[in-house]
Amino acid sequence: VAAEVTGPSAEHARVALADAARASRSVATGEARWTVRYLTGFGLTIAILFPVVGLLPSPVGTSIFAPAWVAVVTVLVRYGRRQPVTRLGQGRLMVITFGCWAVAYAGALVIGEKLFAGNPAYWIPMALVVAAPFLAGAWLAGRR
Amino acid sequence: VSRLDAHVHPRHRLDEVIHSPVRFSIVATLAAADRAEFGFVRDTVEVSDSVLSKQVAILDGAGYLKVKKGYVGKRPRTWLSLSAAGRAAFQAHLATLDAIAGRSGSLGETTR
Repeated sequence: VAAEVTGPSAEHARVALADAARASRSVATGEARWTVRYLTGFGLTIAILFPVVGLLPSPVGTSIFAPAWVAVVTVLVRYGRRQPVTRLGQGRLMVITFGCWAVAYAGALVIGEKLFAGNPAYWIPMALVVAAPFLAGAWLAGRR
Repeated sequence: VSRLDAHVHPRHRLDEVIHSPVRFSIVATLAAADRAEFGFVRDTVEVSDSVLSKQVAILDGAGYLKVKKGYVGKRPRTWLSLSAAGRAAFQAHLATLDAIAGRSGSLGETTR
């Protein structure tokens, strides 16, 4: 009753603020781990699969890439959906990460198929460029 | 803050719905998240299912919370998130606590 009349003391207010900060850290820790794994999974997969498209003959490369990519995306999306918390701002990070990846992937693919088909000196380094948005997103998620 | 408000003790600006310790912890957890599963909030706030359900109903009734039920595979899940009104009320509540604690500038630290 006394607390209702006088309101919380400065010390009570500081404890409440510390409690809010602790809750925020709990969300950040829980979210960061799975987001780092999720984006790193996409990055490593595309880094491995991207050269397959350009270095192997047309039907063979695509027939390996497409089912492998669909399988990995399915596993990672299911993994993401099972997670108990998504941090504030995570949606924006995902949109930016996947948007940058889509631009890098489409650009590298079009240029590679027109000018560098079958040339490892192009496709292997470009695999890292195409994977970079995912790895950068994972780094940002772990750092936030 | 108007001149009149400047002479009023900050406790009068505390949000009565959020001020309860358990509800404050629930809202503080959800303020840092786009959404969180019922079980995650329960474990973070360290309460039972029934206590969390009761407090969620109060916050939902105040328009501070959104409850969404769904499935992940065959398992039913309940997702909780703050409404825009809940987020605004929590920010105002934190600002008031800051004023009572006699400091400023910690809002970003506590919500991000």
